[in-house]
Amino acid sequence: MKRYLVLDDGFTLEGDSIGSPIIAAGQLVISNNLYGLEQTLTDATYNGQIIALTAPANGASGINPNEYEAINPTCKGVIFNSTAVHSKMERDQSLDEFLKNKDIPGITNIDTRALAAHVQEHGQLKASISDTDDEHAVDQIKALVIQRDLVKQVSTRQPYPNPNSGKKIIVIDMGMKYSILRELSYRDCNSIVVPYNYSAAQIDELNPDGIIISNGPGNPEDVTQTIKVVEELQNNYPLFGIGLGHLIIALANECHISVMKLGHHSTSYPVKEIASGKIEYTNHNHIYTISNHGIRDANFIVTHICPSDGAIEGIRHMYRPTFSVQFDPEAAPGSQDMTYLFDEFLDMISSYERA
Amino acid sequence: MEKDIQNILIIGAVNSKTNVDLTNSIYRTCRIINKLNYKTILITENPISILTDADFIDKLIISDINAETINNVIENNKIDAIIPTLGDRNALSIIAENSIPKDVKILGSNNLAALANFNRDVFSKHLEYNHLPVINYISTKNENDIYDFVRKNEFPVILRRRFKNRMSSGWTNIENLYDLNNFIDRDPDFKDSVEIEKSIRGQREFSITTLRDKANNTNIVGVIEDIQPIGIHHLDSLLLTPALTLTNTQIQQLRKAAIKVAKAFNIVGVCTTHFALDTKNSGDFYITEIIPRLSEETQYLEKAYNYPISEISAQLNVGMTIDKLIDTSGKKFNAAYEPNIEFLTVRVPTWSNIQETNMEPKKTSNGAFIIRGKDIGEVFKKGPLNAQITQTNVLNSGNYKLLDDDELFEKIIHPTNRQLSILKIALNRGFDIPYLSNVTKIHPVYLETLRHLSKIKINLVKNKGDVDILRDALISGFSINEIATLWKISEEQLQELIKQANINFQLKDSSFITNENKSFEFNPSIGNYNEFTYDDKKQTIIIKTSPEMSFSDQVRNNYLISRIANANQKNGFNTILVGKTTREIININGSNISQIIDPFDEVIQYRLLPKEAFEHTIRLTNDLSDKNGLLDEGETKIFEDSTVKSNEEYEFNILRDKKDWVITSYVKSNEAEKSTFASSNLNSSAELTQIISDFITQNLTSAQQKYSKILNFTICFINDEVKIKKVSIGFSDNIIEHDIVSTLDLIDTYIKLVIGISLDELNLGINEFHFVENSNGKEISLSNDSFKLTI
Repeated sequence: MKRYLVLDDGFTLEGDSIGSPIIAAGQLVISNNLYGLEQTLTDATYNGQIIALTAPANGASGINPNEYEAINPTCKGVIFNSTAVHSKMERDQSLDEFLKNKDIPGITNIDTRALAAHVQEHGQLKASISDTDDEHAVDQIKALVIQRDLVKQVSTRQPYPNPNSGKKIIVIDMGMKYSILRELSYRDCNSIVVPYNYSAAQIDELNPDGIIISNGPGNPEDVTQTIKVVEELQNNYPLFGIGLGHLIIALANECHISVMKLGHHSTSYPVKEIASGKIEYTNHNHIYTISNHGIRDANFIVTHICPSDGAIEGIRHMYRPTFSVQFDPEAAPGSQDMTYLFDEFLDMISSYERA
Repeated sequence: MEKDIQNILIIGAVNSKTNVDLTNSIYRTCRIINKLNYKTILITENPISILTDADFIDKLIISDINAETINNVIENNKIDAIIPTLGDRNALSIIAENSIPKDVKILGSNNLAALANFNRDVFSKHLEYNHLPVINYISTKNENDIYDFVRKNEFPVILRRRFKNRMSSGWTNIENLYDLNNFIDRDPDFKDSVEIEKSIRGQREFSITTLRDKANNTNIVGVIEDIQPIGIHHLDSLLLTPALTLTNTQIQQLRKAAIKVAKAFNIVGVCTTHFALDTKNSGDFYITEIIPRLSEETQYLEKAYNYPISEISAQLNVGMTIDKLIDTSGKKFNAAYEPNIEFLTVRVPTWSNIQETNMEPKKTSNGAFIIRGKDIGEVFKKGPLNAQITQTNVLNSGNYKLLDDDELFEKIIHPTNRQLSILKIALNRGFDIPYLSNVTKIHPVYLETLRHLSKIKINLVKNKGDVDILRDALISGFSINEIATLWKISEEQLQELIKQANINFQLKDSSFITNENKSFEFNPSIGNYNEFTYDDKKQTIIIKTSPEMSFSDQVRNNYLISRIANANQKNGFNTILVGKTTREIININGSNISQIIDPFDEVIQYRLLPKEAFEHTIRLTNDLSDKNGLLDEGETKIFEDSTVKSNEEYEFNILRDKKDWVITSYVKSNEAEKSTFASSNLNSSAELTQIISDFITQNLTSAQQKYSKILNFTICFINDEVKIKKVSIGFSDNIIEHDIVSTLDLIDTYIKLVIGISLDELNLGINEFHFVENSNGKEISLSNDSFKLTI
């Protein structure tokens, strides 16, 4: 069945349908993830977005429920370069069945090179997967407004525990990936996941050893509640920010945020640690970054940068026990070179306790 | 960068047809090291492929390569460091022997890594010491040890005998106690030691290539998946990248292990690790081999990911860090990224004999070609199922359809190099996919794709003229010729249908879209974005090639392509290389030649190049099925007289235009040696000139023969009489020697003739005996044990 991909500047591409037949629209994101299709699709950072995957022959190994990063994916639609025919072995689902079950529309056999070249020229665009490519469809996508409460849609409603016997860590859920909890479980951490709008007083009452602010979708300037909470908590508790959390910590200290032209979306993008010069590879998924000016005035040191374009990837506070990274160290999908950052966080907690 | 090194010795190729041809990598390594201001000394056994005037090789030594000659070279040339990673196994074995003097640095590899490549004990022990999984293995002369091993590790196991001269018998598969007792009873006194290891036959094979610099920054280039399991040699089975059938967790496991291996052996440079993955006990994997040098896998990954492994590895060897490198033009180059890929790339092995061969753990194939596509079906159709490239006898595959089910099944359990075609027929007959997958251990996705291809063919036949099915078929890689045949219409009618259905073929560059370094290799694919612009301001000369079946043909064609491209550039022409598969182009002057990969020979049908682009075409192939070329310059015999026999033969190379002709050079060969001379060394003979003239005016009859610009006459002088033994048109097998010794620039003159300039206008000074007189002619002499070039 034919479907069309319509962008808001009138550019259209034709493709074949896969998944649910509904019509959907959202912000377009081009992701270069080569492996881990299930993890990419269930990542809550893509809430409200339409993901275009440039990898070839997706879905050859079926969908494996052991690798979900969230039970229900919240992306609006998926665009595939090409998909492989599925052969049913044992209990896995095919890509088509998975997308139909989760009500996600998809379109395949799209020329993603044309798409990527177009986006390189014209910047961030909105896209829709629809059944026609006439003017009516273009008008509809032009009228789409990007929502501002994306974090509220994916954050948990009630706090819940992930009990264990080690350090007590609170994770502020901005749309977090389950792998963060997995990494904490490997390290025996007694974690509690709280909603994004939990107040500072409520977190205080739980008396945590450390706080992690997770990754999530959308513009960090929209989540003003969490920024205020971080401002109140940052003098008293060790903090670790990932992705959206990193930007929130920066905003809570009066730094500035800018939008990158293309963003980093890849399973293994390089990151260089400035102190040692070490270059490692990890999963990136962000279009915002901290601007360079004003960082020193806010008493932060830049600890990690990206060697290909010099973007700031990690910061650490000069005297408070706070550090944060823009990329995803829990790396699902992607290279797991930097999962040791969780160990560094726990070490930081131990030394803060002793002091 | 290493500061106290000045002279670097690069160990190059030995004369062997089974080793990989790394000529292009050797050039690129020498060029980049020269740019870094080191002196490059290259030693090679193989003279012909390196004979060019490359100014980035400071000294070229042609000699046998063994520990003694290397040590001599080190002494005579004050060598400070050696790079052995370009010399295939031989260079590494010299390093493993530990006979290099201690004050000479070994770059890119080290004693331990080289030894681990050959010695099983060193390999296993070092990996176990680093907590990396390796196959359990013991070597013993004691019967009890064998039974203990079997009790611990369970059947199946494999055994072999190690003889006193360090050779070994082949591995025997042992499934049960009865087979084991039989094996031991053949030599119950244990005169030779027995090696026993756990059998991994049937497990899936993968390999990862890593690059590590001296600051321990390691990245991987790519993961290669083997479609056929362990039991068939890695280079005989179809290789695919990226690995489609692995989950993210499995890939990260293998990746971490590969990075750990590079660190464990302290390799600064490139290293490839081979894995076996056990799908029954998920999570178990073993490391089966490490290859600490450039190899077939790195050549394949270079092409697939467009990541210049040769240049990067050379710079890492001399101590640079991976984000501060330079590229061939001297600009800064940041190689700290793990490259991405948008096209599925397969490496298809070829066998030079067209008979069906059994596939076994020992390598039997002798060549390979690379195909790209978006879809698995497309890549199968253009690659292993494409009879034009694999040159499988069409009658042979028809015969498989006559076999009954049992005979077909026999062929499936003993796999041959026609495995995919046979499986396709089996699936058509209704064999079950899970059952076939269990028997052949091929992942069901590939079998499902083969069945899907058959379904599309049936749909095409049933629904003639249906545009949706046409689009499906073109996406899955069906050629225009095949669809037109199935629909019983002409190709032009089909092209009209395709145009009306708005299906556009475009040429896409094979590099990743955000990569700044373009690869200049273009693949036709259905899409909306054309990346190749045909420049109609300058005229174009198209060179058409086909995959060569023999090693010497490959060397000859590679040489010709680079020389022709050079001559084209000098004369103000563009060069486009159109071939059925990807080629390695040896660029001496560093300019880029565009390549169009056209597996079905349909680049005109796709309307990607206009017909006038093919006006000047040079075809370096003997494949006479080419419908679009006008000339055939692969050597074609047009006359042979087998009664003419003599001990000494002369082969004359002749260039001609419509009126005149000139002898450029000649090869004098007898049983012992072969020497090539410039034509000015000839004793002028009027009879010779007359006989050649007569042949040219009378016997070149067909249009192709009349248009041909280059001829070869093989002549014997018997009793002072001149007898023609053989005449052929096109570039002969000795063209490289001819080109080197000839006093006029052979290829440049040839190109001028192709364009239409006459010999007269060139003012070459041809005398009445049709050659150019010149007092300093060069001479090359090649005998069975020596090579000499004198000027």
